[in-house]
Amino acid sequence: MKPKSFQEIILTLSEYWADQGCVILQPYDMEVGAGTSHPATLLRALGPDDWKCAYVQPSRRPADGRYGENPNRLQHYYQFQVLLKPSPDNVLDLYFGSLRAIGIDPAEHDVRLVEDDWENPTVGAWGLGWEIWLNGMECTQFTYFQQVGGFECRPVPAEITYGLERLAMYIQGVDSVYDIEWVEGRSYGDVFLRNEQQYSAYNFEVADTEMLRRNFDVFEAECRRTLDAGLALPAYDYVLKCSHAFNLLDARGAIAVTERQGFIMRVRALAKACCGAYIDLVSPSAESAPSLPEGGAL
Amino acid sequence: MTGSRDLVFEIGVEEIPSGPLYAAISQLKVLAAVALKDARLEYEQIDTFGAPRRLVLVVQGLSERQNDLDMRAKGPAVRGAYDENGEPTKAALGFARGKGVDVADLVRDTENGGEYVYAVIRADGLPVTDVLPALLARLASGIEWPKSQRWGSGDTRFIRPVRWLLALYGADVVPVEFAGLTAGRITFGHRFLSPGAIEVPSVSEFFEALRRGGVLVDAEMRAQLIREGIVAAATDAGGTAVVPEKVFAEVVNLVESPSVGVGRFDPAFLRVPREILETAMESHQRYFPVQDADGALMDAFIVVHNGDPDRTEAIVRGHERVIRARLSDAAFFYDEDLKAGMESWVERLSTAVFQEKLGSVADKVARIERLTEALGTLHGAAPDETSRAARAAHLCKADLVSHVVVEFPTLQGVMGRYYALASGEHEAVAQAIVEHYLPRFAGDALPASVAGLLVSAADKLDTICGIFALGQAPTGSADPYALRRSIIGVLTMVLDGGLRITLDEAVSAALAGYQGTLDFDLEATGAAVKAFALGRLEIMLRDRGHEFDTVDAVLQVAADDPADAARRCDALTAARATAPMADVTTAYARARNLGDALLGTEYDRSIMGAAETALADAIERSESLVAGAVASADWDGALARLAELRGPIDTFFTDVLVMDPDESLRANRLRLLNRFTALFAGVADFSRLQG
Repeated sequence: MKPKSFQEIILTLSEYWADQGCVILQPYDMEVGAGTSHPATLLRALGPDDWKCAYVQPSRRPADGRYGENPNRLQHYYQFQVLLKPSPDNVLDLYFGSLRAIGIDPAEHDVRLVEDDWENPTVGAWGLGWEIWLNGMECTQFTYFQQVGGFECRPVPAEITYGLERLAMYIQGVDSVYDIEWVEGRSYGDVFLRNEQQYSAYNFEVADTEMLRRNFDVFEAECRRTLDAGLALPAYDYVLKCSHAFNLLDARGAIAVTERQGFIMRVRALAKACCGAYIDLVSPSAESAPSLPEGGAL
Repeated sequence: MTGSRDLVFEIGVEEIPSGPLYAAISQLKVLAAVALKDARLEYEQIDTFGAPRRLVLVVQGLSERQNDLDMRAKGPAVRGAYDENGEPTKAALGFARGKGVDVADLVRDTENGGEYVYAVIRADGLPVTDVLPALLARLASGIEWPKSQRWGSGDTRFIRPVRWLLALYGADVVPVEFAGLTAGRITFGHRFLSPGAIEVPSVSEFFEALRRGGVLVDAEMRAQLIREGIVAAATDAGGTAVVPEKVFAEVVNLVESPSVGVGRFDPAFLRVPREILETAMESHQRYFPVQDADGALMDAFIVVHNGDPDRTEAIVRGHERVIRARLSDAAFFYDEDLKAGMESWVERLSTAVFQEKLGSVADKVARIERLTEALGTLHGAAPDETSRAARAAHLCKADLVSHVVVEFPTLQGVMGRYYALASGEHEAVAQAIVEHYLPRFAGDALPASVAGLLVSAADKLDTICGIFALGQAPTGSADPYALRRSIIGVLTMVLDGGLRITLDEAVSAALAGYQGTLDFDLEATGAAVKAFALGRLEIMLRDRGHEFDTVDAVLQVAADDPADAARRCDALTAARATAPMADVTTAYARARNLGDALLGTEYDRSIMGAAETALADAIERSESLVAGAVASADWDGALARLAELRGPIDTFFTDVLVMDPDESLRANRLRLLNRFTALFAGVADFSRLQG
């Protein structure tokens, strides 16, 4: 059987997780460093409600760009992200089922779960889980979230993050990410090589650092103002904008040693505030709070 | 006599990380022994096992009933237990309540002449099956994990989610409740090779059931199997395997059913430094490299896998593709690094933080360079040695921003050496770069070259002095910058590595690097660093077998030069084991107790008797000899000269009444004793020696 193309892998995973009852979302329409940052994961991991979703998330790590010259590193790549809250008892079986769906039968390979304690201090989040190795290749990160934004996750979600390019390279047997068959007759390189060249140059050489610094300040202020207005979700967008501005500044080498921690602390403070506001929004006591005035009607 | 049966308790868990699994296997054994003893349950043997998905406790010959309880607990003294009317006091009531007996049932007895009340506690032993469910549940929750987690909607914490429990006593299920589960007789085999539940009829069939399910639950058996497999695979590949103990131990707990295969990679990669290839194979992939008879790396690797043994061939092909990607990544980084110059990295160190308040790594490098030169002078290094050391100091951190070290941080220094050689630096410079991280831990190798010693000491002293200047000296167990390890490293290089530095000058030179950029009290910080160093030196010397008072006596007079202090300790420890030295030390103590420093050491020979004159002669003869020995640091010689005074000083104390009523005689004798004790001062402070 012909190995699945890149887009077939995405379609198959989407269908598989849809069959497991996941809401299939589209990518978040902002620059994020990882699928975890999508509010459908980061914010929805909090609060008491059940939630299952899956989506592809283009992820940007400006400092990882290699001008299209390294066969394994990209400044823009895809993650397939699944969040299951609460984590089902058979969550690992479900995950291995998804590998079978895209043509990898774990019984035919060497599959190992290797300890990986995940921590993201910038958003005050941590969890325990594994890197999942397929014949020695890390193909997925699996995490039971314990805290997000400094708040306990109850119930506990399981997060599954597939590295799509790596999986596709493995499934298709190619040694360069640019040789992945996106769809018959189109390679990953056809679609993205020019992007990698251009964005690497932009990220490392061209991005206007003064503008980025100004933007960071402006986004931070807007985040605070929006939080003051009680709007956790739009406020969170500005956390993402701050993060991306910081990542670009970092790639440009424009963050002095002494400033670095300060920037991270500022982003963390915003992220935590958004998580706190989100919890207030979704926890049962808060839902009953803004009840209609006596005698009021719609 | 009741009967007994075997017990098996299995906690089925999602893949447990390797290190915590080892720890839990040992913990469970200890916890079980304590719990069974507390529960008055007899048994023949406890064994614990573990594999990634399970922790297993087996108790052989576990008694079917608890032993009966029959014990007396001692309470308060009788006079405190009853008031003048014979009524029980609050103390007696509280004691009885605490022991669960009626106060009227307390009995009296005498012990060591005192009369006390006792509670007699009796209970019939219960059937083991009544006791086990709660006992095993407590064992499961009693395991301590370095990190634990919740899962689903539950509140139980464990290393990873618990998915099943099996507990059998003989053929009977023990319904242990833990983590929202109730134990049964169902277990699960290998996650992929044996899907589905496995029913276990009784304890005796448990291990066989797991084996059929593709699980080797005994880590030692897995280790044995893997070790044999590795040897066979390496032989197959025509070489021997490189097997670091740490990677091996981890691999044992990454598989439930180990199989070993050998793969190949493109020999063209062998042009990349061996350390890079090894690190790529071991740290990322947990592969074992293979080397040939000459110790050169071969184009082969060994993989221990968790898959179907019959599919080893195909699985190894899969690993070969992965290693190709890893190695070409590593080779790409190495080639990129070779294109860049080390100088450009030195500049980029200004963007790498050393310590928030102590500036960048570039700042540190500038300080280390100057300090290396200062230490070179102190050491008496040849000018070319010092200049190479300074050059090495300039380059010693450059590789931190290289691609390879960013990817594989454990290769710091190692890569610096390669890159220095590649850019035409002197071999001594390259060697000093890799050596300056030594020693990394107690017992590690020391830098072999003078330049390595100098840069290593400079790097460590700079960190110690900087952190002390910030007022963040280590306290108790808090030593975030590992300053103790650093100072021990410096001292070890002085004691055993031939580094010649004195503490005062070295510390002043290191602190000088922070003057002008950091606001601190130079004198107080210097004193604090020195005291810190001496504290460690004292412990190190004691660890080398010197009595604490020997170390104390030596450090009182020779604290600035650790190497000299160590040699004095060696000589003094050897000398103190001999009778003459022991006697002279006793005489010294007596002389010092009597002596009066205000009288000085100039005596009048004309009023001396024979014993006094003999002592004075002996002292005067010794003075130049001891001084000569001290001047040439011949401590054995100096101590031998002092020991020779035993005869004259003993005769003096036997024949002469020091505290003569005649004040001039007395004063003269005390001056003679002052002269005697003064002779010792250049060697050690003998007043610190005990007995």
